[in-house]
Amino acid sequence: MRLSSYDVTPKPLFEARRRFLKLGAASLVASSALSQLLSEESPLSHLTYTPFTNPLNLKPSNPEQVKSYINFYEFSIDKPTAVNFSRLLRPHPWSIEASGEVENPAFYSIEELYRFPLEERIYRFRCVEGWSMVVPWIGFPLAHLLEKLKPTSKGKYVKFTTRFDPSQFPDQQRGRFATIPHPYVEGLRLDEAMHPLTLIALGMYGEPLSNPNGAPVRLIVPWKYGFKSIKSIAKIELVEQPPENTWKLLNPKEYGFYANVNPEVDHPRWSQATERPLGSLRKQKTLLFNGYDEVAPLYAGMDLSREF
Amino acid sequence: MRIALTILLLAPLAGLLYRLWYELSPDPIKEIYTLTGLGALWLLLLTLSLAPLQRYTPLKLRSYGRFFGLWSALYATLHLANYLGLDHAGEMREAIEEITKKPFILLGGASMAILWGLALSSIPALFRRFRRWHTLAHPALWLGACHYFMAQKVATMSTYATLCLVAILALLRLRAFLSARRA
Repeated sequence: MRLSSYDVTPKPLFEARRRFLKLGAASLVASSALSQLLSEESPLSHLTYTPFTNPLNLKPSNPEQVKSYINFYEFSIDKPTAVNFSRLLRPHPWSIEASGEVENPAFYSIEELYRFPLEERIYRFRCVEGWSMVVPWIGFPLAHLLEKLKPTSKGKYVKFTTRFDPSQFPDQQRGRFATIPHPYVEGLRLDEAMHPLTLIALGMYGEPLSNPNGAPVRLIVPWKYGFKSIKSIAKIELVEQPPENTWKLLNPKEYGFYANVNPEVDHPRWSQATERPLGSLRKQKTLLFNGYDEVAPLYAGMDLSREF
Repeated sequence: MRIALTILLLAPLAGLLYRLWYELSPDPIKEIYTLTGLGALWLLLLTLSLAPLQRYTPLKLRSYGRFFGLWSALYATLHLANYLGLDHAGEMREAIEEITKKPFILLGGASMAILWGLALSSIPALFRRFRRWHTLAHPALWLGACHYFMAQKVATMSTYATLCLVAILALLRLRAFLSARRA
Protein backbone atom coordinates (compact mmCIF):
# COMPACT_ATOMS: atom_id res chain seq x y z
CA MET A 1 0.00 0.00 0.00
CA ARG A 2 1.33 3.41 -0.92
CA LEU A 3 1.03 6.18 1.60
CA SER A 4 0.49 9.75 0.51
CA SER A 5 1.20 12.77 2.65
CA TYR A 6 -2.52 12.84 3.40
CA ASP A 7 -2.38 9.46 5.13
CA VAL A 8 -0.13 10.92 7.79
CA THR A 9 -1.94 11.83 11.00
CA PRO A 10 -3.15 15.40 10.50
CA LYS A 11 -1.14 17.82 12.59
CA PRO A 12 -4.16 19.08 14.63
CA LEU A 13 -5.09 15.53 15.52
CA PHE A 14 -1.48 14.66 16.33
CA GLU A 15 -1.21 17.71 18.55
CA ALA A 16 -4.55 16.97 20.17
CA ARG A 17 -3.22 13.56 21.16
CA ARG A 18 -0.03 15.08 22.47
CA ARG A 19 -2.00 17.65 24.40
CA PHE A 20 -4.17 14.94 25.87
CA LEU A 21 -1.09 13.01 26.96
CA LYS A 22 0.51 16.13 28.37
CA LEU A 23 -2.67 17.02 30.26
CA GLY A 24 -2.82 13.51 31.66
CA ALA A 25 0.76 13.75 32.79
CA ALA A 26 0.24 17.22 34.16
CA SER A 27 -2.82 16.23 36.18
CA LEU A 28 -0.61 13.73 37.97
CA VAL A 29 1.82 16.46 38.90
CA ALA A 30 -0.38 19.24 40.15
CA SER A 31 -3.65 20.90 39.31
CA SER A 32 -1.88 24.28 39.06
CA ALA A 33 0.31 22.91 36.29
CA LEU A 34 -2.84 21.74 34.56
CA SER A 35 -4.48 25.12 34.60
CA GLN A 36 -1.26 26.68 33.33
CA LEU A 37 -1.16 24.31 30.37
CA LEU A 38 -4.77 25.07 29.54
CA SER A 39 -4.20 28.81 29.64
CA GLU A 40 -1.32 28.49 27.18
CA GLU A 41 -3.69 27.15 24.54
CA SER A 42 -3.88 29.66 21.74
CA PRO A 43 -7.33 29.92 20.21
CA LEU A 44 -5.59 29.84 16.82
CA SER A 45 -3.64 26.65 17.30
CA HIS A 46 -5.91 24.21 15.51
CA LEU A 47 -8.41 24.15 12.70
CA THR A 48 -11.15 21.65 11.98
CA TYR A 49 -11.98 21.33 8.32
CA THR A 50 -13.31 19.05 5.60
CA PRO A 51 -10.45 17.63 3.51
CA PHE A 52 -10.41 18.34 -0.22
CA THR A 53 -10.92 15.62 -2.82
CA ASN A 54 -8.31 17.25 -5.09
CA PRO A 55 -10.04 16.45 -8.39
CA LEU A 56 -7.23 18.05 -10.43
CA ASN A 57 -4.71 15.92 -8.53
CA LEU A 58 -2.47 18.91 -7.81
CA LYS A 59 0.70 18.37 -5.82
CA PRO A 60 1.14 21.01 -3.10
CA SER A 61 4.36 23.03 -3.20
CA ASN A 62 7.00 22.75 -0.49
CA PRO A 63 5.38 24.56 2.50
CA GLU A 64 8.69 26.10 3.61
CA GLN A 65 9.02 27.77 0.20
CA VAL A 66 5.39 28.87 0.22
CA LYS A 67 5.97 30.51 3.61
CA SER A 68 9.19 32.26 2.58
CA TYR A 69 8.74 33.21 -1.09
CA ILE A 70 6.13 35.93 -0.67
CA ASN A 71 5.25 39.49 -1.53
CA PHE A 72 4.11 41.59 1.40
CA TYR A 73 4.98 45.23 0.72
CA GLU A 74 3.60 46.34 4.09
CA PHE A 75 6.78 44.75 5.50
CA SER A 76 9.27 45.14 2.66
CA ILE A 77 9.69 45.00 -1.08
CA ASP A 78 12.43 42.39 -0.58
CA LYS A 79 11.02 38.92 0.03
CA PRO A 80 13.41 37.68 2.78
CA THR A 81 13.19 41.05 4.58
CA ALA A 82 9.39 40.90 4.39
CA VAL A 83 9.39 37.43 5.95
CA ASN A 84 11.63 38.72 8.71
CA PHE A 85 9.51 41.82 9.49
CA SER A 86 6.30 39.80 9.33
CA ARG A 87 7.08 38.82 12.94
CA LEU A 88 5.63 42.22 13.81
CA LEU A 89 2.18 41.12 12.67
CA ARG A 90 -0.15 40.26 15.58
CA PRO A 91 -2.88 38.02 14.16
CA HIS A 92 -4.68 37.78 17.47
CA PRO A 93 -6.87 39.51 18.56
CA TRP A 94 -8.30 40.39 15.16
CA SER A 95 -11.66 41.29 13.74
CA ILE A 96 -13.03 42.33 10.38
CA GLU A 97 -15.66 44.90 9.63
CA ALA A 98 -18.28 43.87 7.06
CA SER A 99 -20.30 46.86 5.93
CA GLY A 100 -21.32 49.15 3.07
CA GLU A 101 -24.33 48.46 0.87
CA VAL A 102 -25.63 45.53 2.92
CA GLU A 103 -28.72 44.83 5.01
CA ASN A 104 -26.79 43.24 7.87
CA PRO A 105 -23.53 45.03 8.57
CA ALA A 106 -21.49 43.24 11.24
CA PHE A 107 -18.15 42.82 12.94
CA TYR A 108 -16.64 39.35 12.97
CA SER A 109 -13.93 38.38 15.42
CA ILE A 110 -11.40 35.89 14.07
CA GLU A 111 -12.93 33.27 16.40
CA GLU A 112 -16.31 33.81 14.77
CA LEU A 113 -14.75 33.35 11.34
CA TYR A 114 -13.23 30.06 12.52
CA ARG A 115 -16.77 28.87 13.29
CA PHE A 116 -17.80 28.97 9.61
CA PRO A 117 -17.76 25.43 8.15
CA LEU A 118 -14.15 25.27 7.03
CA GLU A 119 -12.92 23.27 4.09
CA GLU A 120 -9.61 22.58 2.42
CA ARG A 121 -9.08 23.76 -1.17
CA ILE A 122 -5.95 22.81 -3.08
CA TYR A 123 -5.54 25.61 -5.61
CA ARG A 124 -3.03 26.78 -8.15
CA PHE A 125 -1.65 30.24 -7.37
CA ARG A 126 -0.02 32.34 -10.10
CA CYS A 127 1.95 35.49 -9.29
CA VAL A 128 2.07 38.30 -11.85
CA GLU A 129 5.89 38.14 -11.46
CA GLY A 130 5.90 34.81 -13.29
CA TRP A 131 6.23 32.22 -10.50
CA SER A 132 3.50 29.84 -9.42
CA MET A 133 2.68 27.37 -6.67
CA VAL A 134 0.03 24.96 -5.42
CA VAL A 135 -1.31 25.54 -1.91
CA PRO A 136 -3.79 23.62 0.24
CA TRP A 137 -5.75 26.55 1.69
CA ILE A 138 -8.31 26.22 4.48
CA GLY A 139 -11.29 28.52 4.56
CA PHE A 140 -14.84 29.03 3.39
CA PRO A 141 -16.44 30.44 0.25
CA LEU A 142 -16.80 34.22 0.42
CA ALA A 143 -20.37 33.65 -0.81
CA HIS A 144 -21.28 32.21 2.63
CA LEU A 145 -20.31 35.47 4.29
CA LEU A 146 -21.99 37.62 1.63
CA GLU A 147 -25.24 35.67 2.03
CA LYS A 148 -25.29 36.62 5.71
CA LEU A 149 -24.56 40.26 4.92
CA LYS A 150 -27.29 40.46 2.25
CA PRO A 151 -25.97 42.99 -0.30
CA THR A 152 -28.54 45.61 -1.30
CA SER A 153 -29.23 46.46 -4.95
CA LYS A 154 -26.47 49.09 -4.72
CA GLY A 155 -23.88 46.55 -3.64
CA LYS A 156 -22.32 45.77 -7.03
CA TYR A 157 -18.68 45.34 -6.04
CA VAL A 158 -16.86 43.99 -3.00
CA LYS A 159 -14.02 46.11 -1.68
CA PHE A 160 -11.37 44.58 0.60
CA THR A 161 -8.95 46.57 2.75
CA THR A 162 -5.83 45.40 4.56
CA ARG A 163 -5.43 46.37 8.23
CA PHE A 164 -3.90 49.81 8.69
CA ASP A 165 -1.71 49.70 11.80
CA PRO A 166 1.80 51.17 11.41
CA SER A 167 2.90 49.44 14.64
CA GLN A 168 2.45 46.10 12.86
CA PHE A 169 3.19 47.06 9.24
CA PRO A 170 6.41 49.12 9.03
CA ASP A 171 5.92 50.40 5.47
CA GLN A 172 2.73 52.10 6.67
CA GLN A 173 4.88 54.33 8.91
CA ARG A 174 6.70 55.87 5.99
CA GLY A 175 4.01 58.28 4.84
CA ARG A 176 4.67 59.56 1.36
CA PHE A 177 7.89 57.55 1.15
CA ALA A 178 5.95 54.30 1.47
CA THR A 179 6.45 51.83 -1.40
CA ILE A 180 2.70 51.59 -2.06
CA PRO A 181 -0.29 53.70 -1.02
CA HIS A 182 -1.66 52.29 2.24
CA PRO A 183 -3.86 50.60 3.21
CA TYR A 184 -3.81 48.02 0.40
CA VAL A 185 -7.16 47.76 -1.40
CA GLU A 186 -8.54 45.08 -3.68
CA GLY A 187 -11.91 44.53 -5.28
CA LEU A 188 -14.11 42.02 -7.08
CA ARG A 189 -17.30 42.31 -9.04
CA LEU A 190 -20.16 40.82 -6.99
CA ASP A 191 -20.55 37.83 -9.34
CA GLU A 192 -16.81 37.11 -9.05
CA ALA A 193 -17.04 37.40 -5.27
CA MET A 194 -20.02 35.03 -5.18
CA HIS A 195 -18.30 32.42 -7.35
CA PRO A 196 -17.88 29.16 -5.38
CA LEU A 197 -14.11 29.12 -6.08
CA THR A 198 -13.60 32.44 -4.26
CA LEU A 199 -12.34 31.67 -0.79
CA ILE A 200 -11.86 33.46 2.49
CA ALA A 201 -8.76 31.64 3.70
CA LEU A 202 -7.87 31.26 7.38
CA GLY A 203 -5.28 28.52 7.09
CA MET A 204 -2.96 26.50 4.89
CA TYR A 205 -1.25 23.11 5.13
CA GLY A 206 -3.57 22.18 8.00
CA GLU A 207 -2.52 25.17 10.12
CA PRO A 208 -3.66 28.75 10.61
CA LEU A 209 -2.20 31.13 8.01
CA SER A 210 1.42 32.03 8.67
CA ASN A 211 2.23 35.73 9.04
CA PRO A 212 4.08 36.03 5.70
CA ASN A 213 1.07 34.51 3.93
CA GLY A 214 -1.39 37.08 5.26
CA ALA A 215 -2.45 35.94 8.73
CA PRO A 216 -5.03 35.66 10.10
CA VAL A 217 -7.48 36.09 7.20
CA ARG A 218 -6.99 36.65 3.48
CA LEU A 219 -8.76 36.34 0.16
CA ILE A 220 -7.96 33.64 -2.40
CA VAL A 221 -9.14 34.07 -6.00
CA PRO A 222 -7.34 31.24 -7.80
CA TRP A 223 -8.01 32.36 -11.39
CA LYS A 224 -6.51 35.83 -10.88
CA TYR A 225 -2.93 37.00 -10.37
CA GLY A 226 -1.81 36.73 -6.77
CA PHE A 227 -2.00 40.44 -6.00
CA LYS A 228 -5.82 40.22 -6.12
CA SER A 229 -5.72 37.79 -3.18
CA ILE A 230 -5.39 40.50 -0.52
CA LYS A 231 -3.78 39.63 2.83
CA SER A 232 -4.53 40.44 6.49
CA ILE A 233 -8.01 41.81 5.78
CA ALA A 234 -9.56 44.38 8.12
CA LYS A 235 -12.61 45.41 6.13
CA ILE A 236 -15.00 43.94 3.55
CA GLU A 237 -17.43 46.47 2.05
CA LEU A 238 -20.12 46.26 -0.58
CA VAL A 239 -19.85 49.30 -2.86
CA GLU A 240 -21.56 50.63 -5.96
CA GLN A 241 -18.48 51.60 -8.04
CA PRO A 242 -15.45 49.43 -8.88
CA PRO A 243 -12.89 49.90 -6.08
CA GLU A 244 -9.55 51.46 -7.06
CA ASN A 245 -7.28 48.51 -6.37
CA THR A 246 -3.76 49.34 -5.20
CA TRP A 247 -1.70 47.99 -8.11
CA LYS A 248 -3.98 49.58 -10.68
CA LEU A 249 -3.64 52.84 -8.78
CA LEU A 250 0.15 52.50 -8.82
CA ASN A 251 0.50 51.67 -12.50
CA PRO A 252 -2.72 51.48 -14.54
CA LYS A 253 -0.83 50.67 -17.76
CA GLU A 254 0.56 47.48 -16.26
CA TYR A 255 -2.10 46.29 -13.78
CA GLY A 256 -5.85 46.28 -14.24
CA PHE A 257 -8.93 45.70 -12.12
CA TYR A 258 -9.61 42.18 -13.40
CA ALA A 259 -6.07 40.73 -13.41
CA ASN A 260 -7.29 37.40 -14.72
CA VAL A 261 -4.46 34.95 -15.38
CA ASN A 262 -4.09 34.94 -19.16
CA PRO A 263 -1.12 33.61 -21.16
CA GLU A 264 -2.25 35.61 -24.20
CA VAL A 265 -2.18 38.97 -22.46
CA ASP A 266 1.40 39.89 -21.58
CA HIS A 267 2.51 42.24 -18.88
CA PRO A 268 3.74 45.22 -20.94
CA ARG A 269 7.33 44.47 -19.98
CA TRP A 270 7.43 40.68 -19.73
CA SER A 271 5.67 37.63 -21.12
CA GLN A 272 2.95 35.78 -19.16
CA ALA A 273 2.89 32.75 -21.48
CA THR A 274 4.78 30.50 -19.08
CA GLU A 275 5.44 30.26 -15.35
CA ARG A 276 8.09 29.02 -12.95
CA PRO A 277 6.69 26.56 -10.39
CA LEU A 278 8.31 27.11 -6.97
CA GLY A 279 11.57 25.21 -6.58
CA SER A 280 11.65 24.05 -10.20
CA LEU A 281 14.14 24.62 -12.99
CA ARG A 282 11.48 23.60 -15.51
CA LYS A 283 8.90 26.12 -16.61
CA GLN A 284 5.33 25.23 -17.46
CA LYS A 285 2.69 26.75 -19.69
CA THR A 286 0.35 29.22 -18.02
CA LEU A 287 -3.33 28.40 -18.53
CA LEU A 288 -6.19 30.80 -19.25
CA PHE A 289 -7.90 31.63 -15.93
CA ASN A 290 -5.06 29.64 -14.34
CA GLY A 291 -6.82 26.48 -15.51
CA TYR A 292 -10.18 27.32 -13.87
CA ASP A 293 -12.28 27.30 -17.04
CA GLU A 294 -15.53 27.32 -15.06
CA VAL A 295 -15.14 31.07 -14.48
CA ALA A 296 -15.13 31.83 -18.24
CA PRO A 297 -18.89 32.66 -18.33
CA LEU A 298 -18.23 35.55 -15.91
CA TYR A 299 -16.31 37.29 -18.70
CA ALA A 300 -18.44 36.32 -21.72
CA GLY A 301 -18.36 39.06 -24.35
CA MET A 302 -15.53 40.98 -22.68
CA ASP A 303 -12.31 41.84 -24.54
CA LEU A 304 -9.81 40.38 -22.07
CA SER A 305 -6.85 42.14 -23.67
CA ARG A 306 -8.47 45.53 -23.03
CA GLU A 307 -9.97 44.69 -19.65
CA PHE A 308 -6.89 43.00 -18.23
CA MET B 1 46.24 39.42 -6.66
CA ARG B 2 44.45 38.18 -9.77
CA ILE B 3 44.23 34.69 -8.30
CA ALA B 4 42.57 36.04 -5.16
CA LEU B 5 40.15 38.07 -7.26
CA THR B 6 39.38 35.06 -9.45
CA ILE B 7 38.47 33.03 -6.38
CA LEU B 8 36.35 35.92 -5.12
CA LEU B 9 34.47 36.14 -8.41
CA LEU B 10 33.99 32.38 -8.70
CA ALA B 11 32.61 32.09 -5.17
CA PRO B 12 29.11 33.48 -5.94
CA LEU B 13 28.80 31.10 -8.88
CA ALA B 14 29.88 28.17 -6.73
CA GLY B 15 27.33 29.23 -4.09
CA LEU B 16 24.64 29.37 -6.76
CA LEU B 17 25.53 25.90 -8.04
CA TYR B 18 25.40 24.57 -4.49
CA ARG B 19 21.92 26.06 -3.96
CA LEU B 20 20.68 24.66 -7.27
CA TRP B 21 22.16 21.23 -6.65
CA TYR B 22 20.52 20.91 -3.22
CA GLU B 23 17.27 22.51 -4.47
CA LEU B 24 17.47 25.29 -1.90
CA SER B 25 16.13 28.04 -4.14
CA PRO B 26 12.38 28.70 -4.30
CA ASP B 27 12.68 30.42 -7.68
CA PRO B 28 15.91 29.10 -9.24
CA ILE B 29 15.58 30.65 -12.72
CA LYS B 30 14.92 34.06 -11.16
CA GLU B 31 17.83 33.58 -8.76
CA ILE B 32 20.22 32.79 -11.64
CA TYR B 33 19.00 35.89 -13.47
CA THR B 34 19.54 38.14 -10.47
CA LEU B 35 23.00 36.87 -9.56
CA THR B 36 24.43 36.77 -13.09
CA GLY B 37 22.69 39.97 -14.20
CA LEU B 38 23.70 42.08 -11.22
CA GLY B 39 27.16 40.50 -11.35
CA ALA B 40 27.64 41.46 -15.01
CA LEU B 41 26.30 44.98 -14.45
CA TRP B 42 28.38 45.71 -11.33
CA LEU B 43 31.53 44.24 -12.87
CA LEU B 44 31.11 46.40 -15.95
CA LEU B 45 30.50 49.38 -13.69
CA LEU B 46 33.71 48.54 -11.84
CA THR B 47 35.65 48.09 -15.10
CA LEU B 48 34.64 51.54 -16.31
CA SER B 49 35.30 53.11 -12.90
CA LEU B 50 38.97 52.13 -13.04
CA ALA B 51 39.99 54.99 -15.37
CA PRO B 52 38.38 57.81 -13.33
CA LEU B 53 39.60 56.19 -10.11
CA GLN B 54 43.14 56.27 -11.46
CA ARG B 55 42.72 59.86 -12.59
CA TYR B 56 41.39 61.18 -9.30
CA THR B 57 43.22 58.92 -6.82
CA PRO B 58 46.79 57.63 -6.52
CA LEU B 59 45.58 54.05 -7.23
CA LYS B 60 47.08 52.27 -10.24
CA LEU B 61 44.11 50.25 -11.45
CA ARG B 62 43.76 50.64 -15.19
CA SER B 63 45.61 47.42 -15.92
CA TYR B 64 42.70 45.53 -14.36
CA GLY B 65 40.30 46.72 -17.05
CA ARG B 66 40.61 43.61 -19.20
CA PHE B 67 40.36 41.30 -16.18
CA PHE B 68 37.09 42.73 -14.83
CA GLY B 69 35.72 43.32 -18.32
CA LEU B 70 36.15 39.65 -19.20
CA TRP B 71 34.51 38.62 -15.95
CA SER B 72 31.57 40.89 -16.71
CA ALA B 73 31.25 39.26 -20.15
CA LEU B 74 31.34 35.82 -18.51
CA TYR B 75 28.54 36.69 -16.04
CA ALA B 76 26.51 38.22 -18.87
CA THR B 77 27.00 35.09 -20.97
CA LEU B 78 25.67 32.93 -18.12
CA HIS B 79 22.72 35.33 -17.87
CA LEU B 80 21.98 34.82 -21.57
CA ALA B 81 22.46 31.06 -21.22
CA ASN B 82 19.80 31.10 -18.48
CA TYR B 83 17.44 32.95 -20.83
CA LEU B 84 17.92 30.50 -23.70
CA GLY B 85 18.59 27.26 -21.86
CA LEU B 86 16.24 27.39 -18.85
CA ASP B 87 13.76 30.25 -19.24
CA HIS B 88 12.99 29.19 -22.80
CA ALA B 89 14.28 25.62 -22.41
CA GLY B 90 15.97 25.66 -25.80
CA GLU B 91 12.85 26.86 -27.69
CA MET B 92 14.89 29.21 -29.87
CA ARG B 93 11.96 30.48 -31.94
CA GLU B 94 10.00 31.51 -28.86
CA ALA B 95 13.09 33.12 -27.34
CA ILE B 96 13.82 35.17 -30.46
CA GLU B 97 10.16 36.14 -30.82
CA GLU B 98 10.22 37.48 -27.28
CA ILE B 99 13.42 39.45 -27.95
CA THR B 100 11.65 41.31 -30.75
CA LYS B 101 8.47 41.83 -28.66
CA LYS B 102 10.02 42.99 -25.38
CA PRO B 103 12.29 46.03 -25.69
CA PHE B 104 14.01 45.34 -22.38
CA ILE B 105 15.31 42.01 -23.67
CA LEU B 106 16.50 43.68 -26.87
CA LEU B 107 18.49 46.22 -24.83
CA GLY B 108 20.12 43.40 -22.86
CA GLY B 109 20.91 41.56 -26.08
CA ALA B 110 22.55 44.65 -27.61
CA SER B 111 24.67 45.07 -24.50
CA MET B 112 25.66 41.40 -24.66
CA ALA B 113 26.71 41.74 -28.31
CA ILE B 114 28.98 44.67 -27.47
CA LEU B 115 30.55 42.79 -24.55
CA TRP B 116 31.32 39.80 -26.76
CA GLY B 117 32.88 42.02 -29.40
CA LEU B 118 35.05 43.69 -26.79
CA ALA B 119 35.99 40.40 -25.13
CA LEU B 120 37.14 39.05 -28.49
CA SER B 121 39.09 42.17 -29.43
CA SER B 122 40.76 42.26 -26.01
CA ILE B 123 43.09 39.49 -27.18
CA PRO B 124 46.47 41.32 -27.05
CA ALA B 125 47.16 40.73 -30.76
CA LEU B 126 43.88 42.40 -31.69
CA PHE B 127 43.66 44.98 -28.93
CA ARG B 128 46.10 47.39 -30.53
CA ARG B 129 43.94 47.61 -33.64
CA PHE B 130 40.61 47.80 -31.83
CA ARG B 131 41.66 49.88 -28.86
CA ARG B 132 39.44 52.83 -29.80
CA TRP B 133 36.42 50.60 -30.08
CA HIS B 134 36.64 49.81 -26.39
CA THR B 135 34.92 53.04 -25.51
CA LEU B 136 31.80 51.10 -26.60
CA ALA B 137 31.89 49.56 -23.13
CA HIS B 138 30.13 52.75 -22.00
CA PRO B 139 27.04 52.30 -24.19
CA ALA B 140 27.07 48.61 -23.15
CA LEU B 141 26.78 49.75 -19.54
CA TRP B 142 23.96 52.20 -20.33
CA LEU B 143 22.04 49.52 -22.23
CA GLY B 144 22.58 47.05 -19.40
CA ALA B 145 21.40 49.58 -16.81
CA CYS B 146 18.19 50.30 -18.78
CA HIS B 147 17.63 46.57 -19.18
CA TYR B 148 18.01 46.12 -15.41
CA PHE B 149 15.68 49.00 -14.58
CA MET B 150 12.96 47.73 -16.94
CA ALA B 151 13.15 44.18 -15.64
CA GLN B 152 12.17 45.19 -12.08
CA LYS B 153 8.55 45.11 -10.98
CA VAL B 154 9.27 48.04 -8.67
CA ALA B 155 12.56 49.94 -8.54
CA THR B 156 14.21 49.75 -5.11
CA MET B 157 16.89 51.82 -3.41
CA SER B 158 19.62 49.54 -4.81
CA THR B 159 18.19 49.96 -8.32
CA TYR B 160 18.39 53.74 -7.97
CA ALA B 161 21.86 53.58 -6.38
CA THR B 162 23.16 51.53 -9.31
CA LEU B 163 21.59 53.90 -11.84
CA CYS B 164 23.13 56.86 -9.98
CA LEU B 165 26.62 55.37 -10.27
CA VAL B 166 26.06 54.69 -13.97
CA ALA B 167 24.96 58.32 -14.47
CA ILE B 168 28.00 59.71 -12.59
CA LEU B 169 30.29 57.56 -14.71
CA ALA B 170 28.57 58.75 -17.89
CA LEU B 171 29.05 62.39 -16.84
CA LEU B 172 32.74 61.82 -16.08
CA ARG B 173 33.15 60.17 -19.46
CA LEU B 174 31.43 63.08 -21.17
CA ARG B 175 33.73 65.53 -19.39
CA ALA B 176 36.82 63.58 -20.43
CA PHE B 177 35.51 63.45 -24.00
CA LEU B 178 34.88 67.20 -24.13
CA SER B 179 38.25 68.15 -22.66
CA ALA B 180 39.99 65.78 -25.11
CA ARG B 181 38.26 67.53 -27.99
CA ARG B 182 39.25 70.94 -26.73
CA ALA B 183 42.90 69.97 -26.44
